[in-house]
Amino acid sequence: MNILYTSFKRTTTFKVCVILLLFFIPFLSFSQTETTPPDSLQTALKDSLQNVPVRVPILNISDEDDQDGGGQDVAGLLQSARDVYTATAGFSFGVARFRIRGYDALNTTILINGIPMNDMEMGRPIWANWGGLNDVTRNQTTNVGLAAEREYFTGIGGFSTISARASTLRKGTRFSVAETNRMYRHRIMVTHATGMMSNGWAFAASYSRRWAQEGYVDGTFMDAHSYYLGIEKKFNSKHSIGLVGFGSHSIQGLQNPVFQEIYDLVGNNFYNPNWGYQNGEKRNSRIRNVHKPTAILTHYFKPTKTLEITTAAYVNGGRGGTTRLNWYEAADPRPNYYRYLPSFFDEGTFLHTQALNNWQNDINTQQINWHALYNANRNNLFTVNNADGIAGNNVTGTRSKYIVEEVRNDHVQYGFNSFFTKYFTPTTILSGGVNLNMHRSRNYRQVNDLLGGDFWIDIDQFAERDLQNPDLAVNNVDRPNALIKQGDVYGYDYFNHIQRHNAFAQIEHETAKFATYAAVNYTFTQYYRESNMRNARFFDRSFGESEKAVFNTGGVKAGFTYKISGRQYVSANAAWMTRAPLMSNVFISPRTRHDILPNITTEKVQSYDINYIVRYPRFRGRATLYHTTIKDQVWMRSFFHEEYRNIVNYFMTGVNTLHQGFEFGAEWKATSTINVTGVLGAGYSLYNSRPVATISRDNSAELLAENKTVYLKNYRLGGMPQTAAGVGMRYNSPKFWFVGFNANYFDHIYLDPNPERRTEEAVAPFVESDPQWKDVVRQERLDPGFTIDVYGGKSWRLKKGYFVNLNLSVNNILNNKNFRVGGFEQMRFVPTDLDRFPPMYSYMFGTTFYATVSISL
Amino acid sequence: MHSFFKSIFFVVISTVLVTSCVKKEWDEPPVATIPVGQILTIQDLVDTFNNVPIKFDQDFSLFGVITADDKSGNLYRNFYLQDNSGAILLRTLFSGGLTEGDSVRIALKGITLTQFNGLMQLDSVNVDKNVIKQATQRFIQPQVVTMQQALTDPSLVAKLIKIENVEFASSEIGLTFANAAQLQTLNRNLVDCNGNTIIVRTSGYANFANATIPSGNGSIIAILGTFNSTRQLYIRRVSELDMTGERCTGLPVVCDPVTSVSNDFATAVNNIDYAEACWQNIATAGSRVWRGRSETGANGMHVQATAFGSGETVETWLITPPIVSNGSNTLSFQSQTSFWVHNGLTVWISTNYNGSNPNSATWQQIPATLAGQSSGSSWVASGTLPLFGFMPQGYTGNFHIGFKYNGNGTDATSSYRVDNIIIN
Repeated sequence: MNILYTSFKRTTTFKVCVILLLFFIPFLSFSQTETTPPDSLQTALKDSLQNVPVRVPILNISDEDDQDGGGQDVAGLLQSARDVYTATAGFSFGVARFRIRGYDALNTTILINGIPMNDMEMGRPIWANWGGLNDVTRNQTTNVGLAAEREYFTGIGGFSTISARASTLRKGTRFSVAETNRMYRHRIMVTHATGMMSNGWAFAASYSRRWAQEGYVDGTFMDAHSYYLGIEKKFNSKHSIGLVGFGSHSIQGLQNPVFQEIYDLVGNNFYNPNWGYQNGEKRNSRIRNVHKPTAILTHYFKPTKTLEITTAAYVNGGRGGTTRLNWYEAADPRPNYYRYLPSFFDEGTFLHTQALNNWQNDINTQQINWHALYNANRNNLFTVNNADGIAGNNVTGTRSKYIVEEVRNDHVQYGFNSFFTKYFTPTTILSGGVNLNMHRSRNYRQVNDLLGGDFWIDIDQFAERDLQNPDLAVNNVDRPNALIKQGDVYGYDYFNHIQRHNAFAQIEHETAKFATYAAVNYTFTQYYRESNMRNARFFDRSFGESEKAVFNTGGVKAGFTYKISGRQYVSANAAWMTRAPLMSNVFISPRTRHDILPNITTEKVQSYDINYIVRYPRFRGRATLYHTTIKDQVWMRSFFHEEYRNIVNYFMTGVNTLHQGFEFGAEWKATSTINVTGVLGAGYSLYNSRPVATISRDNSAELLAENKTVYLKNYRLGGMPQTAAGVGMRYNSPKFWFVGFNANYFDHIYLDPNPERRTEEAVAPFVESDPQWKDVVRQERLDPGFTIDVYGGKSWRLKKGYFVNLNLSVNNILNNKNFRVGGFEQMRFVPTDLDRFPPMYSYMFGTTFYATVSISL
Repeated sequence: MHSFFKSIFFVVISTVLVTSCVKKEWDEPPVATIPVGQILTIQDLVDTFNNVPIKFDQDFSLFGVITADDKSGNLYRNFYLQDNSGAILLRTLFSGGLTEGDSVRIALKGITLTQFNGLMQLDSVNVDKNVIKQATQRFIQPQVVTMQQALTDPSLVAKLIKIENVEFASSEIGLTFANAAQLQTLNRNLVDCNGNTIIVRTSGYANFANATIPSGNGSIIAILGTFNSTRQLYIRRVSELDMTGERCTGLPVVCDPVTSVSNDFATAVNNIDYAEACWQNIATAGSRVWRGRSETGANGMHVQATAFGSGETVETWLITPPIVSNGSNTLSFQSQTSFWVHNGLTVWISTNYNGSNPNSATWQQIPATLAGQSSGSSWVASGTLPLFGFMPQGYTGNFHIGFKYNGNGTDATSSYRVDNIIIN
């Protein structure tokens, strides 16, 4: 909604406030009503309702994959005419993992030069793919929730359109240096754009590097090079052609959450189990190495004054991978394995004391003991008979017990996109377009480091143990007893093929009092798997192409805005749509076989919102009530099941979620130099169905469980605050400097529930009146949190037209290191001893800062 | 260039130079050497041990070859090591890591030498730290011994041995090595032709637990274990049992199947254990079986089982010869009880009874009318019981009917009698 400011009369302030107050009363009472009645399995658990471990950025601000939520310039955000609620949620709520309306990021569409950038497999926009290119992505329009959009039929969460054309980048040279203490410590960035030159050409280029030897968390590091190149040629008033290429190659050491016992043992809520010392230096076992650049060739065509057609061909892809330890016939090398912790042993015993002592004093207990892994490998002399399937080829060497492997996902995507905008009159606009995509990803495991050994042998150790026939443990029938060396592919090797084609049309019409729009969409989605390996356990259905899973989906959305006056507006939007499940939710065990989840169906989405907006020169604000249901979702986790001693795939089908609540954001220019903001997001995101679970083994066709009812109704979605509130104040000096603060409050943060704990089997050991019965099914609510952020900046104009900007922002200035912002229950649990496998928690960083100096020429 | 810019660039360039190298390649750590120290033999360990566990706190080394590993699942975290002086069990901290044929040096520092129920063992062996592999596939040939030697010679314990001319006990033919479904460890009896018996002990986790034991006579290769005074064999793989020759103890008598049964027990002898060709009269608990009994009256001779005065738990089966199913077989019989205190008789049908061990067969109970508390001393007719419902549709194989008596000498002492069994 593009709403203009008009002059503001002080006398109306009071009136507006009263109206606003009246407007919010029903919302406030509504927000306090604690949801629908609890499910029958958890009668009397009314106060413990509640949650999917997806950590997602809210819109464009928090750069999830880089985990550098504050990476963008504060000034840019707060000075923009962007929605107050969205801006605050991005800057101050993002670090607490707040998600607008509780939506997964796949509900938000990111368009760069009109091309939808959401990942074909994950559905979410992968910010890391263009991370660090802040100068390039600065031109963006963001909208939360449902809205008209002429380039694409966007998701219910809203959209960001980024214009990264060579001609739209700010003309001139910009150089900046940033120092921070989050995922990285240093950033340099240089950007140059010519603007549209008189000869019809425009050029732009940007480069940035973000790096740290060690980030905020021990053992993490980062090194990311990002680049952008844009060329545009304007032939005449009708035709322009633009080519852009951009990418970011980032290598990053990761952190994994652990359970509270470990944080307490080492006295550090930011403990990281992933690293250990090697030759005196910290080595991280989990390193993400991603480089997936994009190139877009666009034709901008304006045949008449009332018609614009934008057509593009694009390609995107590259390497993605994360390393991890793997081991065979050896002790678990991870320090946080539960059997190494004091709690595994009875208190008072020697083993308990020993574990406690080691955890408190021995670095090789607290962290990975790399030297021990090397020594174990070097000492493991082994003879492989008939190596590589060649009879009589008996090879003797050291067989690695421990390796670092990289789980790879490399993809290539070709796309074609075209959309038009036709102005029948200045107030009646038709738009529409098509988007065609061919995506193929190759998924495999690769040896990254043999850690001193000569080779690794490619067998499924779980199958080897469980199945009588040792031939069935072979992962690649065409190369049994394979000697796997560094860089070799093993375990599995398959393509995910995705074809997704989309067409949409939208009509907008505006009158003096009303602005309306309506849009329709149709999407064709086809998935299939193609494997390069024939797995011995699925001889007839692991190799070659699988059958194709096809989904035909569509949607409609519509909305209107009613102008009460030039300064007050009411708007409402609605959308009904179906969409294909993600490919990872369609195949039961794509690592080993072609099987498709039975009864897979499309997701059904309904979303409604109603908004009240005021736009006075000195007071502006928005209040929104929203209601969204997403039905027939699939929830899938692949994990090592300690009880079955096997990798299992856990599917829930028929997962319905409800997202309902309200948003309020307002900004008041108290004086010509002081701004005051207030923001509140409150609602609930919860499961409102009883899904059905299917558990399959990765290495056999056996279903471990089928049609198991999961009593999830009214449990909250976890890992995010469902209530967030903030107030802020900012002083803008006429002398080109500013300073401000935000105070933030977060509440209703819940742990993601483990579905297995909400089944009949889980509570079978207890009668319903037994408090232990409730302990099994209860959902843990984490403590609320309070943080304060401050920021400031100054600009200088030097001689010769140089500008120098200094920006500083500090998040969590109170250095609150005990704020749990997320967590999840482990999939393994013992009903009668819940503390045996306690939940994992993540803490918000303590005080972090981001300081930038930039020079514009 | 502007001096302001110069200084900025200087700062930036120096920052980049100082901090920019983010490490990606790793040097391998130095090789850890484990001192050899004094070299011992297994015999030295045995000689040193005086019933008190010894934890080695200095560098000693032991050389030997692994004769059995835990790959098959029959052993778990147990490995056998043998040198020229003897053999010993290695108990490791984690499973796996050693392979049959590995020639190894065991660095004894940190290991405990102990004895468990008569078996010498090196405990708490950390394969990564205590075992230095010298070579692979140095397989040791088993020592050929007699069963008599295996049962008595102390120097053979923990060694890889081979015994020839042996066979599994006839009562176990047709059974599996262990119970794979319930992961239960089982003992099977191996006999020679001189009346000696030794246990073959197999874990339910072994990948051959579900294999059927061989029925012939021949040789077996195994590790000789001991549990106090009981010697037992652990086999490494089924292929090391070459038992296809002719047996010396014979198999259970195989009776030809019949098409019908009619037994009025006229041949039974009063107070003598009932014995009739192809009828089986077996005690599966206690020592009592069905006996002949005479009566004046219409029934004449019949059989009786009772726990009265036995002083023990009694379970005994009277089992018919194999009967060919014709799809419409029926059963009728009479039963009687006296001195009734409990219901002790049940009637069963099996299609997989192997003719020797009722406990290894699957039985389904037949709901017959039976004598009980209210029937006094009169004979009770079972009624004509159709049997086809207990067999798969179209089944043309054999079945057996079993009459099982359960009781004990204290509070389940009723006597039960059976007569006039007719199966058509």
